[in-house]
Amino acid sequence: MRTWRTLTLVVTSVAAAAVAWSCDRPSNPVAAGPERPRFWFGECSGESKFTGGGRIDPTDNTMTGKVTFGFNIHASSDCSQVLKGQFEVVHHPSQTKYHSVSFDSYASFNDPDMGQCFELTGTFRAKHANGGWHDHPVFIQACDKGEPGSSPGTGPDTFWFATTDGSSDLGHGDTGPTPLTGGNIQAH
Amino acid sequence: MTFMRVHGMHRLLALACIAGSTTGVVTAAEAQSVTGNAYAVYVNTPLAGQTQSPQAVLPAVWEPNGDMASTTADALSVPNALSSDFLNSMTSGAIGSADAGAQSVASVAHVNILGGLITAKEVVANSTSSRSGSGAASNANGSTFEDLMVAGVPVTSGDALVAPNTRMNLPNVGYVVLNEQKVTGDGAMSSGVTVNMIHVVLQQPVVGLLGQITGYRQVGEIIVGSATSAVGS
Repeated sequence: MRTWRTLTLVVTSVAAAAVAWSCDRPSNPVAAGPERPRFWFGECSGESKFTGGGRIDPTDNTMTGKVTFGFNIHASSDCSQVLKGQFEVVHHPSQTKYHSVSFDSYASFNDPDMGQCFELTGTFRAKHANGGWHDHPVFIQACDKGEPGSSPGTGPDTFWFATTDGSSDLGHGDTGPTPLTGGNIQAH
Repeated sequence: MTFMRVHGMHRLLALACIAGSTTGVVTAAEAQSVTGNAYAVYVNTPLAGQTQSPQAVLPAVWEPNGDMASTTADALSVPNALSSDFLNSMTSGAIGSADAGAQSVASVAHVNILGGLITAKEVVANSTSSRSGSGAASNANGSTFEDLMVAGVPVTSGDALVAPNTRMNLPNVGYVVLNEQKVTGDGAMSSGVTVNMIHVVLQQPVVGLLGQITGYRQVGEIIVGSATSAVGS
């Protein structure tokens, strides 16, 4: 009788754990769209060095208007850490400038539609006009899809900047993935 | 004797090979180079002076690496010349195994030159140069003026482009070149561009013996928003 109860308890626990484990994970991580950060899945199929700069003019998200940027990032070949990196991002309508302080995660991937891309999260310091510096967690994605000027109007490369602490004040928010108005993203 | 002569020739040939291969290495290294420079303001007039500021210069870059530089200023005023704020200069560049690129951005807000003769809510200078197996190219895409006025005349409404190298006369002052673009390189192995968004040239008339104006000479210049990038040798 006691053995039967113990067996029932073990089977129930295992079943509950299995259900909880399956609910905690996406059904198919590999098929996740570009909107999902790749570092969640430890993706590292692309380049570990990227350099870029230029301008985007996002219109559809919570951070809109002129955004200029420049960066150089060098991650380890297994994407486990950023060895060297520096970012400057400027949101012109709010006169807000961001500069990198530290990096938390990095991923790279090669997408047939987006090109050679990297994503990272980190902490950037921000300054609004004449105000003081303060820190924000940020997310960045940049993709090298071709030579600068090779597509009419904007692109082909894209840049995406977002503050991730939910602040909705002017100068914070999400640009969404946006084709470059000028400049270049170079995987090397 | 013959053996010594042949042996000596072999040594000479070996030296020539080493020299040749060394020259080849230098040539290849020189062929892959990137440069970048961005600054917000430069003033050189009889009444005022300001070095290129704030200025970002791309450090030396070697394959397969990249680098960047950036600098900012909250405001910059030069008496008798200009006032401005929110000045930002950035430049970055990299040399890869198959391609090389450099890009620079300079921006300046609330520009007021020569007591309101030229004003703009903001100017952005953006230069890009790249080189790959298909050749080398540069452009100034992304360079715009926001609410630009010259001598009381609206030139742009909102954020807009002005045709490259647009020249406007400034009576009794000189002239201004808007979106001034200077291109360098052969387009195959090298390419570069400098874009100066506002380039004011101050002039004085040259007067002849009979009091007639025989020409004009440059006595100063003001540049606002300058971005330079170049690839190749």
